[in-house]
Amino acid sequence: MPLSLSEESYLASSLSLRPPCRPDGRDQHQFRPLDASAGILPATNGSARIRLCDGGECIVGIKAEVVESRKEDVALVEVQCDIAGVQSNSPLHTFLCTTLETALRNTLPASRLSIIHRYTYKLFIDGIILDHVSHPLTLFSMTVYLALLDTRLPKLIPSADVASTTTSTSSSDQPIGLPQFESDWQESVPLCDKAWSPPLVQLAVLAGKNVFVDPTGEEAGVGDGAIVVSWHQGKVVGLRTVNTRDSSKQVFSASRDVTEALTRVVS
Amino acid sequence: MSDRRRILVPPTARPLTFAPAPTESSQDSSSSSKTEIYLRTSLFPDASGSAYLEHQKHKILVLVNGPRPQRMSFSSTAKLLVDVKFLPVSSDAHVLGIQQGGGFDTDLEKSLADYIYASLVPAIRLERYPKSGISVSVVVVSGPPRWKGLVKQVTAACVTTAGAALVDAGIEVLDVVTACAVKVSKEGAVSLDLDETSEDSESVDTVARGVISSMASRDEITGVWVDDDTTSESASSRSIEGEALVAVLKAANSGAVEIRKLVNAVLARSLDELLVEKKGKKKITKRSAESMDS
Repeated sequence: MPLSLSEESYLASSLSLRPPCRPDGRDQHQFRPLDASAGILPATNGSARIRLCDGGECIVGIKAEVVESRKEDVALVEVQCDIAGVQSNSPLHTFLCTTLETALRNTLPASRLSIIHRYTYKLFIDGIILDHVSHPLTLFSMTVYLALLDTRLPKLIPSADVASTTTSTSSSDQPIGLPQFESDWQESVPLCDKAWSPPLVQLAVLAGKNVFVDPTGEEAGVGDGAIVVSWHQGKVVGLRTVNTRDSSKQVFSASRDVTEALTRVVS
Repeated sequence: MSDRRRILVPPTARPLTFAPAPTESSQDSSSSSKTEIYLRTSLFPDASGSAYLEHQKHKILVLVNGPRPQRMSFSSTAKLLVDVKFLPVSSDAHVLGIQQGGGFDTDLEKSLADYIYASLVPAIRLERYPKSGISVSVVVVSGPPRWKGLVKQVTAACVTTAGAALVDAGIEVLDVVTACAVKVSKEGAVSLDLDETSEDSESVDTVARGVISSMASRDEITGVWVDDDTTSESASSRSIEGEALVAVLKAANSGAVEIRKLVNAVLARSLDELLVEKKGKKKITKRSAESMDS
């Protein structure tokens, strides 16, 4: 339900107070409680579901496909999402998918997906947002993050590659160089380990001099503007301003506002 | 009775004439050809405002239409609409779109439009135009031959052109928006990204790229877009936080101020031209009135 003008101005002024006062009593850098589970879809390489306390729910499944890596700049990650109640090809879709896709492409080294010289994995990340009250970017990104942590890739049998190149006997039934995988799923290897963890993308709303993480729909509606922060292995790797409403007064008189946003810790 | 069977040309249409070779006046102050920027406003009499910018191989045209009445719904402020189009001939942009799974509207076009919208909205006094719409269409006539790493540069050019076109359309703005792209090298040095061509962008020296839109005379930033632009192999990326971010913002802001000087000069000249034209028109109408009398 849209807020009336007086409600809006009340919320806007209470958010720009110092210290600010959020309607749900949260701290500026505090997330809402959420319910998360991973590995819920058995037919995928990795999957996750996250439910927020406001009713927002998102399910993400990841499938890996073996493709030939002929060209250098072939896209190895494809993100698609479906939002209940929103037409596919709406600006929100594009925004979610491109933001996640660029964040992943910029941080995921190609070596992590390559199998043997000519073949590589391609990740298809499909999400469905069953319901959302607040902006779905944070929810979607967290679910993708969890699903990527859950993703397991089948173990490669090393002998297949070596045998086909050294002895020609095995090549009669198998084409040369085609990767062979262990059929036992227990042997599969996780995509993420200590060396690489997936990026997270968060939406933060600015109101006056304050920055809020995990904004509710109302907070985003009255805020002066928003920034999208991509975060990867303890570092900020991307930063971008977006508008959450039409007539924005969003300006940064000094760089202080932005740096302030980055000091917060992602839970 | 007007002719309804034919689609008539716009009333202001003129026969096609070829412009004389560019005179010296069209080349604005600049030292080397790589950093040279050419900007012109009011090219299209049919649009409310227009601007055209050339920088290296980028050729960007922006048309502004509006404020036009919107009948569908009531809104107390104007609605701004931004769309970006790459012409099919504008380099390998279409390849990029196909790669990202896009159809006719590529994802790059949409995210560019998103950023341009976010940069322009704070500058426009939308509350002065209730019940109306302002549409900004950005046409990338020609882009770099290879887009990799040069998106930020083109974005900056688009924002600057759109800012000039808005002024040309006579829409009330708080200040002219200009934008400048920057790059961060491995050692953390920040430099303006004006002279880079597609060949240079292949180098692994640059670890991050960004573009800042700002309102120079108010000293306010309207848009920030910084990305880690490393090729995925060198995963040991730098963080754009704290001091590093401040350095990026400062460098880009000073670049935007420089570009603002050019925009100011161009706008001032187009204003002069407009005044001269108006005077000329008045004389003509006077003369025709006299001839009518006699």
